[in-house]
Amino acid sequence: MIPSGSRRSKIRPPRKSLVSSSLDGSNSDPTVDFEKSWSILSSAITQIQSKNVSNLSYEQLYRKAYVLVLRKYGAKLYDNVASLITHHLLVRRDHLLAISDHEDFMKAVILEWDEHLQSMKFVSDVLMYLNRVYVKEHKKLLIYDLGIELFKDNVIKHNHDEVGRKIVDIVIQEITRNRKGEVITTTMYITKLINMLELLVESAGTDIQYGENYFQTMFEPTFLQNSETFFYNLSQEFVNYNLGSRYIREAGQFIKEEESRINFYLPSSTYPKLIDLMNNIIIKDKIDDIISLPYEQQGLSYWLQPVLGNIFDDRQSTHHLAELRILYELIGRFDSEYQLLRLRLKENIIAQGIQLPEFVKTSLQNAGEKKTATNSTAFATKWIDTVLRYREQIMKLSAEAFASNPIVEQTITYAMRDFINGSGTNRKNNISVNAPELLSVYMDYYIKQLGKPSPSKDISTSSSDSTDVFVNRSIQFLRYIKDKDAFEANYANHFAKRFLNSKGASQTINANNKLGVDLEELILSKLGEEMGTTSLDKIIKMNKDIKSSKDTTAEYKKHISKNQKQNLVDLELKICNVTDWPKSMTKDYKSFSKSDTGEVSFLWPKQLRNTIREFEEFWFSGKKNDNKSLYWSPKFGSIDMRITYPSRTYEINMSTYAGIIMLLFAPQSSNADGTMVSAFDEQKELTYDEIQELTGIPEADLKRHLQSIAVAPRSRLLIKKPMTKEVNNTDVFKLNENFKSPSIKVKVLTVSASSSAAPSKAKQKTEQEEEAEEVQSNIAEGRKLEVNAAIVRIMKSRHTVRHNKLIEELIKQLANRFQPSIILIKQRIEDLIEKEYLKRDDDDKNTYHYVA
Amino acid sequence: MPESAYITLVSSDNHKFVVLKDVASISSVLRNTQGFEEGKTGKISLDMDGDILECIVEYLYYHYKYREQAESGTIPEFHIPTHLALELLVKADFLDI
Repeated sequence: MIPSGSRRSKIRPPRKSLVSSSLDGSNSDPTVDFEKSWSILSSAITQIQSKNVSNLSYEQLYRKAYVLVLRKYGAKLYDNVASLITHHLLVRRDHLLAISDHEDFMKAVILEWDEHLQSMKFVSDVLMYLNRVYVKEHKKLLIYDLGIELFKDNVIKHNHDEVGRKIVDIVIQEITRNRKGEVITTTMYITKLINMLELLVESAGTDIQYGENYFQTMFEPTFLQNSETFFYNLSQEFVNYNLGSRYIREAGQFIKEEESRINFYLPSSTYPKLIDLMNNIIIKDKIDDIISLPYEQQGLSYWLQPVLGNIFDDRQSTHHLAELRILYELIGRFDSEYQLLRLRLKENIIAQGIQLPEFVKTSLQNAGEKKTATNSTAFATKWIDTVLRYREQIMKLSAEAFASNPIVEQTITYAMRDFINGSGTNRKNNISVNAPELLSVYMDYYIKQLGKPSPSKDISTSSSDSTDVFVNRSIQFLRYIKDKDAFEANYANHFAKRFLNSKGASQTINANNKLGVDLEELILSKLGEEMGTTSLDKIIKMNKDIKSSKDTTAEYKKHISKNQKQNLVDLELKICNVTDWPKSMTKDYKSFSKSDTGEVSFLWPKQLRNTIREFEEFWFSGKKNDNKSLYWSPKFGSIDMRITYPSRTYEINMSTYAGIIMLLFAPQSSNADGTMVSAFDEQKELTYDEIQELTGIPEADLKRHLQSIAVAPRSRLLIKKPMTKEVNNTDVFKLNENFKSPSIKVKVLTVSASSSAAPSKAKQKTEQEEEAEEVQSNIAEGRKLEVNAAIVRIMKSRHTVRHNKLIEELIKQLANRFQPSIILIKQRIEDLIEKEYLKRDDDDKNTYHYVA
Repeated sequence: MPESAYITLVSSDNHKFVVLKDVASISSVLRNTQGFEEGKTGKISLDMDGDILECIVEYLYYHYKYREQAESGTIPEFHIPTHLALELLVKADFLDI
């Protein structure tokens, strides 16, 4: 005999003959008297039920039952036990029903149940052999389970669930009281009763079949129904506050309490049902109404308001983080995608976002800024700062209230992108903004700022920091821009202007700045990372031109010093490949040269001609320049000039045009001893018309530059007669003998749109508009090409495509560049059909074929 | 009465075996007695001869000793006197061993 896990099954008593024969041998009384044994056993059971266990000898009782089972009285014994217990329970039940107080009743039921279980344990111990042999063979309920079954049938369910209903009612009443915020003393009883109800398993018929327990069949449906009504009424009550914050707070609080309550009372199978019920009634059905409440009733728009408020002044109006956090949690309870939250959040962010330009405008006006055109530098920088701060605020809020949930943040990003790119802005009276242009203006402004030599010594750290900050912010903003091509065009324009208008010196400062990296190049590489280098092709080429210009300048200087050339003006060269630079700057490049039209419109002053010739010689002697033509463009660049006024000698920096005008006033004749006559002795006077004739500067430019040097108070190098702001054709100019300036170095600022005097303003405006238009048309041209290219790409790979499919594909391909309009696409398709890249299907007009 | 770690098993011919409670509890019948009068007196009278009871007690201790190794199977065989085997089988059934 080896003891093992299955030891019991190994030792089997010989079933029939052997046992009985052995019993015959050992027991003096072969005919067991059932009645006699039963009376002992039944009185023992009664004793057990009266808790008198310790006076009974287990061995004797067990032996009685043992013998009865061996003698085939098993069935009779089983039935007798059942009826004895039934009888006992019915008596106890009457006793229970006599109790009217709820708490006492609960207590009594629990006590009864506990005692019943206890006595059943002992009875079952005594009748262990019955369990082992009779019950097993006949597939009956074990004695202990029989006890539970009997308890259910005779106490709980007897007389149409009289006790059962009472328990259910009382428990629900107690829970409801608790839900209403009352402190109840019966929590332990509730738990126990519910545990008890769960143990009362329904068994269908005599077969042991575990179905649902009493809790599930009776308690749960009633409870859920009751809860539903309760939740409904409660949420209605909350809604009636008409105050979103209060709803959110109280609902959140109630749900939290209810959760811990039911977690405590209810079995895990009911828990989710109730939670679902609660989520549906209290949150899902109501929350959208709550979120959409108007500002005064504290809906989402109210909770988000501080985000906007905190942008401009840091008075730190408190965020409604608590409400938002609860809201997030509540919605998360039934929707892990947070769709509703995202939808409403997006609406609100867009609504706030389109207010931003107005805010910016107002705040600029308050700051005394008069010009608030939506493309002015002040507006651009302020707006972009504002948007970025808005983003900062809302991201902070997301981190604190929405657990930085990526899908929510994605929604925020989309929403921001929408309002930045101005979808929906044109509807109302809001100022529409041109984000790509503004970003470019913004970057232009900061690049210029950062490019300026800073007076402080410790710029090494601060400037590189601020550069990083600026670059990062720009890139961040760029990500929100849908029409990236528009940004590129604008950026290219600004880039070109920066280069062409900059003084040579500042360029070198840039190159030698503390980082050792050219700021422009740094930004260019960042942009390249962001948008891909192919789209930045033009800007990159421009940048190359800039570099080669520097090289050429250096080479040229070497050449000059080697050849000992005299009487030449120092040159700082900016040589641009016309094709790569924005058209708005290069369109009239040929108008300054004589070769093209034969008509000499622009005259270089003789002081410069030598230098120009010298450089041209140098330039064309280089092999690499064989096939190139060189045009001089006086529109750009600047001249440094030393002018000796009676007061002192000044080093004056001014635009090329202004310099050329000034050269007209340079001394022309010499004294007898060969020294130059002072210009002031010559008393040269020139009329406007004379100046124009001598220089050939286009009218608009001429007037503008004359204003710069004869009208602007700081840099009045010339005196104009009559002394008016406007420049007229009859005006006479002469050198200003009394010119004075605090420093030796003077920089003549060319009158521009932002500081121009009234009369020229209109002109400047149109010039700017013209430029903007040109940028726009550049963009449009670029788009046509891109759409064409994309269509051809798609058609090449597919050969035959249906119209809708093609459009879908196109929009997808072009999505990170810009959003093509359907009209544009249709035009391009027509264009390509005309050019015989595509043809329409003969039968189906909506299908296109690729013509190889 | 202080909780004792031992109980006394008494055979029908009045042989007494003092057995560790844990050991006796291997038999669910002997274990069940504890809630009853036997638990109070610490004495369980059994309807079996001394030699049978002795053999049963030996088996209980044997089982107790090797209960850890039962699964590995490396335990010595329990020897049952042939003349007691049948009787022992019946009593084992009675005691639910």
